[in-house]
Amino acid sequence: MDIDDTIKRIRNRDISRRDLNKALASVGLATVAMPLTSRRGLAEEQAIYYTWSGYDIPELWPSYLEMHGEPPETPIFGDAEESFVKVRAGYVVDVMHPCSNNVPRWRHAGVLQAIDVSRLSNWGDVVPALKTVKDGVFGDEHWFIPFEWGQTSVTYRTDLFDLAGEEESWGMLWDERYAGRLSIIDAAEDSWWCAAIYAGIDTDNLTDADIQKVFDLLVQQQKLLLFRQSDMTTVEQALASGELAAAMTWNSSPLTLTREGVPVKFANVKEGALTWVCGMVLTADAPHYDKAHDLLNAMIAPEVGKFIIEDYGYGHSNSKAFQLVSDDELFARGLTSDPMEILGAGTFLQAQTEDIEQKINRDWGELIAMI
Amino acid sequence: MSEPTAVSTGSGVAPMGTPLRWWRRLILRNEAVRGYTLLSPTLFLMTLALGAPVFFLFLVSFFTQDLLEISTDFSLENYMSFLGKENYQKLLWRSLKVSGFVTVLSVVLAYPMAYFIAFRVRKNKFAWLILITVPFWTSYLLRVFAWKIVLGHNGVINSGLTELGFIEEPLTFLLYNPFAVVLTLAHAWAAFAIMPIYVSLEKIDRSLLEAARDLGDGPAMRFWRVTLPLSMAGVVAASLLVFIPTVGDFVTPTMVGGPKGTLIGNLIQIQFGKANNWPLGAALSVISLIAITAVVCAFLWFTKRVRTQEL
Amino acid sequence: MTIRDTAPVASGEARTKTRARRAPDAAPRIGALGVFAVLYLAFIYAPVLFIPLFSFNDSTYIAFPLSGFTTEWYVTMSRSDGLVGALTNSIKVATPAAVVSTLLGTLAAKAVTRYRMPGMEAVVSFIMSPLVVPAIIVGVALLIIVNAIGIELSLFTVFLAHLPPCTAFAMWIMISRLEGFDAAIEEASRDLGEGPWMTFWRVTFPLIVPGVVASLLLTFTISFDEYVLASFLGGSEPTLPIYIYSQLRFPWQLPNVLALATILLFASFALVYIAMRFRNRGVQFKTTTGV
Repeated sequence: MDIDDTIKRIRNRDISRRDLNKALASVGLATVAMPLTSRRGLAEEQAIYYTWSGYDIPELWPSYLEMHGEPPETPIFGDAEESFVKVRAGYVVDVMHPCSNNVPRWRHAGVLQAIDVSRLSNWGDVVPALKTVKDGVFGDEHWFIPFEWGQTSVTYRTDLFDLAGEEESWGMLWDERYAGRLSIIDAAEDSWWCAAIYAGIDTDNLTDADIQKVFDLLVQQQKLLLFRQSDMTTVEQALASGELAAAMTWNSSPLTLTREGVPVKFANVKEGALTWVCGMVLTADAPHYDKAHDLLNAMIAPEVGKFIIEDYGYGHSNSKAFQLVSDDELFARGLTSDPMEILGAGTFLQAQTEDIEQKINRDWGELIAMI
Repeated sequence: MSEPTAVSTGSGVAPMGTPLRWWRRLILRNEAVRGYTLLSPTLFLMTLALGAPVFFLFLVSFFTQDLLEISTDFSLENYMSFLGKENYQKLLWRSLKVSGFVTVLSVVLAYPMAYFIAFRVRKNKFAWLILITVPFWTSYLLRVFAWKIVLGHNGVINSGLTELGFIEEPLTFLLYNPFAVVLTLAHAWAAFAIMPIYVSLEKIDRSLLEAARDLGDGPAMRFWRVTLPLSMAGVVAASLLVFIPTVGDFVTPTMVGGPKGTLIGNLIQIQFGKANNWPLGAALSVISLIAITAVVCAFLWFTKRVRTQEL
Repeated sequence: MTIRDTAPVASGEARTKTRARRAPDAAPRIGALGVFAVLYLAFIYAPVLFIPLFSFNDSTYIAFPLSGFTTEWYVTMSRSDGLVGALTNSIKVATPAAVVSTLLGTLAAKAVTRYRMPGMEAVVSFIMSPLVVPAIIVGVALLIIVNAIGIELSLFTVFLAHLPPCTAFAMWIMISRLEGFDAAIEEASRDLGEGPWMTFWRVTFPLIVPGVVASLLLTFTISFDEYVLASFLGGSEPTLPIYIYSQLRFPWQLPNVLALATILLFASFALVYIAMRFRNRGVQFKTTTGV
């Protein structure tokens, strides 16, 4: 940790528990715990990026590696909520990886701090609509750095699912003909919202009646489902085997399945897909404030965007990234060279008032208990 | 227990001497003190790493949560909501039933196997025991996944039956229902069922069986009158070891249960996660603990009665 | 019924050899029971053996028919630092967890079987309770405690969290091993002038070796395979179950995981074989010391 950093944080009375531990260790109090504590300690400390597995690879931060010679530390979590619970309970990291709709709630819980975007040289190339995404900006402060974005829609087997002349629609996941051969994502963030789009309600002004309507739709759908997938492997395996005729997925699944030669299509649903953006936030007592900013900047570089588009099939926040990928490749992933064409269409996943969010999440809990 | 110490008087007044000597005398004289001294590291660990969480759980179950704020005012709201919601009760009942089936299935299957190892295998019993444990050294997640390979749409059973011409369309009732949960759990806990039964069978004094034979009992009678009653302790232990932990499981139902195979563990899990209602999750855990304890007590009472009648 | 009656044990074979000779039912009749035993082994092995099968299958999708033979997954697996690192982490946690919990479990079992103590039943039930309390609650509560004390999350905290459940199992096993253990032998040793440590080392220890081995095996397994506590108490180094679970997000990673599981399966067999050699020696040792 460099001197500036320490001074800055002492001034802010912002010394974290980690520093306290170090102080304790220096007087020998923490040595009992040493034999098993991590490889850290001797080498210079790096930023800690708490993330999804698959986002812990060197392709995502080439310029950070160049600057510091070492990769950031990347503990991984099972889902974003788990990471939130753990950090709230005191786990110390610098950067976390939620989707934008989580940001207001996390901010309210006191877990986050604003990000100094003037330190990010790539910030200027970020798609403007994503820069100012509603849930990430408070006043003129940016609390969220958009990274990958995509859509939630229906992936269906073109050989097994008979559209019968109808347009592609969210209704495919309520189609009685395919009872027991449908699945949705095991998270209110995707599945509740997709049901809301199908219900045709105004998601900007949700009323109790609207919420009830969505709940009823979900109850109705429950009987038709084979399962609710909590991991993408399960759903892709089941689509590949023909066990499922149609399923709710993100962009990457149809891409992977097509590569393996499975006849699937990512539906262009007539009600519009659910669009979402995920990215990075900075924790309130980030122990490596400067390095965290270096990491954030590294991750929104154009060449990282190219990698995310080509390998993961998601959109990236850097508009220049789209010029590095050929039109054919973009088309195969349901993208175009102008990100706004997709971001502008469909319904954008955004945070609701905390009351409504709680209601939605608790409804989702009730649904699990439905017999 | 041949220690010639008087529990009540042994700790008597210590004569003069250093505190250390006094302590040593106390330890040497008093069984309870010696016992608790040996137990103390374990008890210390358990109090810290387990007593605290359980206490915390109990406490939180009387709180309420709104958004991120947990209100610490005493409230029975969470318990009332369990009593008021038929779905929750049904889910708990289903979990107890599923665990019950798992227990019966694993014990019924384990008994003959344990019997075989205890009475028929003459060499390398240890090898047999290990042979039974080894499959359980692969990751639990992968074992559950393996069951999906067996029961799935293009799985082993379906492909086999289609190949043989017994069925034309794959069977769909194999996976994503309570049946799949029972089968997978019974498989996962097999080793925990066999071990206690095997041990109780192994302990049976073989001369009792000889005596029974001398009295003219046939093999069936010998089993019924000697072996089974004497191995009941193992059967009871196996039942508890399987029943208790499976009630709260949420991984298996998530992976192979589908919406029809959801269990109380899933509901508890979601309260601590997405639904963000810790107090309700805590109350549901306390209720499950009570239900488990009730079932266990009833079971113990029943087996005790049966055993005393037999003897 | 007391808790002692129900205590499971992994082994009581010390007596087996002498008894087997005169047991009337020990005649080598295999028959229906033998057929059942084979079927039972098939039941517990069949699903597990599909893991090696598909680890050589040339497709990311785990479905029949098999598409072709490949060893590619083993190559990618061995190059994956994450996977190998996670395996190492798991071993680093499970080994001390097995040793310490077996030690604690043995001490506790010794106390319980040897001394009459007031409130013993309550104490034993308390030690057993990790088996009933949902792991997620223990996980969250422990995390708060650990943070309050100020211990940094690491493999060490995972190890601490694994101790209670492992100790509970260790105690079950050791109680039944020590049950009926004749205290007179220890007394005799002491009367012959051996100190308490020598008595333990020369008399008690050889007698409890099978129980200790069983306990080490079982507690190692439990810690090695534990997910929930490890996910809450783990720091930046994931254990194997956590790594595997996180890889399920990426279907194309699954075959690598299967390859690793296959290697683990065969390594287990090797380990068991070694353990058995060791155990047989232990038995001989016992007979030569005349116990």
